[in-house]
Amino acid sequence: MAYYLAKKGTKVIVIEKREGLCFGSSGRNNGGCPVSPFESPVLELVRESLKLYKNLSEEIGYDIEYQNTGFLMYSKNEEQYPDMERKAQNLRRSGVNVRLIEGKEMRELEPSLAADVIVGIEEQEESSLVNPFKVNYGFAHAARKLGAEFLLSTEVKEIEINKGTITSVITDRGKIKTNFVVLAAGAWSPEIGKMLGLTIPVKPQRGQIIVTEPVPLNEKWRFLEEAVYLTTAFDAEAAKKSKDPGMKLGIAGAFHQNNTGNWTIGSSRDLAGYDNQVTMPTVKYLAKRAIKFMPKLKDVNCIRMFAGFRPICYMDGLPILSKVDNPSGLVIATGHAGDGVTLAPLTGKLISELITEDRTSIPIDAFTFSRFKHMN
Amino acid sequence: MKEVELAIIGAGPAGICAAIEAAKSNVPVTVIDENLKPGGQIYRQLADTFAVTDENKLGKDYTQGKELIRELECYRSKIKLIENAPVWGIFADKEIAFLHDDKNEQLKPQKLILTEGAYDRPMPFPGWTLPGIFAAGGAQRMVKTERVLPGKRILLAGTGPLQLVLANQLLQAGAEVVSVLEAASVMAVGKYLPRFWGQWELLGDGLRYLWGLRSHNIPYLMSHAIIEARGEEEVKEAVYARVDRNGKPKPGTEKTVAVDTICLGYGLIPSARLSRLCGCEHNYDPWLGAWIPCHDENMETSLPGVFVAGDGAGIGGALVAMEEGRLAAIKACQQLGCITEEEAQHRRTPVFKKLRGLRRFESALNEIFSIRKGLFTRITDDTIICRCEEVTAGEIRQIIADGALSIPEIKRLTRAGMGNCQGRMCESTIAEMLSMETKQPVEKMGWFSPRPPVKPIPLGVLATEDT
Amino acid sequence: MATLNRRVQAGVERGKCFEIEVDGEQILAYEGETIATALLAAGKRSCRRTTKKKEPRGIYCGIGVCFECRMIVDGKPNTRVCQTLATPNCTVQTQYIDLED
Repeated sequence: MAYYLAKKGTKVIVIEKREGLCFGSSGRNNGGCPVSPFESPVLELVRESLKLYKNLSEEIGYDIEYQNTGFLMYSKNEEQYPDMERKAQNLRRSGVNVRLIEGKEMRELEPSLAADVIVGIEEQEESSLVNPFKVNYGFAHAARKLGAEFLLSTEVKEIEINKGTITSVITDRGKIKTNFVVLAAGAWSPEIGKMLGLTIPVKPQRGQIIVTEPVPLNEKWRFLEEAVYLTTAFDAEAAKKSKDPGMKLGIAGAFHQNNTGNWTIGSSRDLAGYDNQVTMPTVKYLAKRAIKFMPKLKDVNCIRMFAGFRPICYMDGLPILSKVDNPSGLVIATGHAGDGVTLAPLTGKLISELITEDRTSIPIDAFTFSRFKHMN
Repeated sequence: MKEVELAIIGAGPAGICAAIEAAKSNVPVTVIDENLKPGGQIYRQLADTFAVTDENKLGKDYTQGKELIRELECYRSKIKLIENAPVWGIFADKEIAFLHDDKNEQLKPQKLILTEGAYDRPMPFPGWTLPGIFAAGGAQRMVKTERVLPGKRILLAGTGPLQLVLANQLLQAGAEVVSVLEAASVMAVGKYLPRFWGQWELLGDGLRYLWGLRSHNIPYLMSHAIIEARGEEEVKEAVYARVDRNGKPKPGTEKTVAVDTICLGYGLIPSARLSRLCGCEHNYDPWLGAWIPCHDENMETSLPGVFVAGDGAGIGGALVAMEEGRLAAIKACQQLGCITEEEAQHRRTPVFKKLRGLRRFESALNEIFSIRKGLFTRITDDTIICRCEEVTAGEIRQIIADGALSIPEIKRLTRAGMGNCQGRMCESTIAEMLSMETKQPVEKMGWFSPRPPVKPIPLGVLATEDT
Repeated sequence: MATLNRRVQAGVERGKCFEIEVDGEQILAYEGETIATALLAAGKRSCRRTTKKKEPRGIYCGIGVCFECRMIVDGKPNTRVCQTLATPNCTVQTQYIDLED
């Protein structure tokens, strides 16, 4: 957002509590930007954001390591076949070029896949991987070049309001006069909201990841998710009620192999406050899922594990991209759930439009904060 | 989850002595060690299939180690020893996760003693990654335990007494030792002589090793350091130079020597991975140039019921390790209510006494042979710092210049620390580089975030079902 | 078969001896030795080539912490030879991980 705002000539100051960038969730994810798991209204945002990613390295003059890897969603469950067909149809109707692919052909193209994978939805053109650290630092670098300022190790203490309008932000290092405050504190946004007497319905949803040592690159697909991801990511209640112990922990196989050869293995979803430690049951299931999907991973070493927080809007799971009426001057950009990196460029662009032109090039009514009027 | 009274991680001299002490107190104890047999590094045992024909040829450590193992055997019925079992994680409330027999197992002890040991300090310079260049500890394992020469024409370079020992071992094994380069100066040694008072045996050893070199006409060049290694597929020659008091190479004093092997001995740094992972407080020891878990005189860390001992608690050598292991076990047994305060005091007193003299000696050695900052000026932009991910010093310096002022940021932007060795080979150097560029003390630079697994673990093992 | 033998004979007598295959060549190993030991005895110190710069790397720390000595042993990549015992007729190969897409 700093970048896009600075591009429009706005004076921007970014306040960051930690001593550098990427210390929060931005530094604890796998940089995967798939298209297939989504539906309207988020699907449109994702596709637009990915378009921005395509040429981003060139635009900001910083290599974000964009890889158009394509994406495969797969299932091992016969019963899910009709759901997969329907999903492929829906995606096609929305203009995404996908194809349904049978297990036999999948294994011919990618011999490392397990024998019992039955069907998959393949999307080649849009889904990508990026390096989330480079994205973050790249945007910051470009933003600084355009005059944006970054205040690190600075904590927001209070936001001053005069007659219902924001006038300044008070940090532990001084006061900053401002017309607009953009709240983009991810899973920590509710804290700032409280300062303003607002309930921002975002919770930290913990996700755990296992990283392996480098191994030779897969032949065809390096970015894959189990179809049950659709349940764990978008229907948490159903996941919790499942008989499968892995599902109960919110686990759905989500794997990608970086061009360095390392596999990043996720995904898990649980609510644990701000406890960012990995847990034994979850990492065990993540390992199990990985082997179920690619048996050759059995002998590959896990060398790192970490956990991060998705800022999930617990009311409807949709992001909050919106101006706020009271106090005026507040703009909220959070609640991106597991799609923060995917939606980063577009969020930046849209918020910059919202602030400087009071309109957005893509409708964001579905993401307005006023849908939580009853809580505020 | 299996619950036990006392668990000891590591079966080196510290772990073994702790286990024996617990056995003496009739406290059930489980020892978990990553190697095939107990002994750790310094007392690593020969393969069962190797028959010893002449103990004298195997050195003092072999004999001392054998004695310790024999003592351990006397108490084996009271000690549960799990071998070939690397511990990869500690979770909430001291829950230990380890790999054993291709399965993932867990254990929950009431009291935990960590004896993680140490490893050779990595000290990069141009060409240090060439095959034929070994860490002194590794070369020592080869010649002492595996009974094989790492090469034929060998240069030793570094700082500290281990080099002297290794040089003698290599000589006795028939290697051609070209010279031993010691970065410290003669003055440095002289200043500390009073601290050696009383440790006659250790001093005697030192003199004997020096004489060993002298009698073979092997130059022991003090105030010298290697500055480059050259070769294509393997090391072929080494360039070395005189260094000043701060370890900085003096231009114009370079000499080149043809070698096929280099052993780098810059002292040891505590592994301290499990101690960091479970949240113990650590202090930076400026002489050692490494982080050490804080502990009281009974070896208890900032976490109640978690103890450390041995080189994992600060570099002190085998004799210190044994006494520290005893102290930790005595306190743990006392905390478990298995021995009285009186008995504990009675057993501690001689141990404290022995430790005082030993520690004085060892700390003097750490000070004499502390890593002189000038040695880091050997690092050129081309020098590989993160061996696993092939990250050069130039790349790291660029990132620091761009504003990355912490180790985690350097890791994210260069991938340094993201390899199989999990940052062990590059963390200390990156901290020094950051410190030099930002003009901040090294202890402010922090470390790589401690996370499981502290040892790489196959996915297949991680996935094993609970038994 | 390589005739170089850098084993130290003094003080020990080794047990059974057998052959292992390293990059197609037969070399000697003794029961109880690690693969690294057999390699060093035959004068071989190189184990793999790095991914990015294709540089040679070999045994370095000798105690299993640096992971430089990774080779493909009996088909399994990323095996540390300093921590793996040699077994009769095991195959050991220099490891190259090719990441070209």
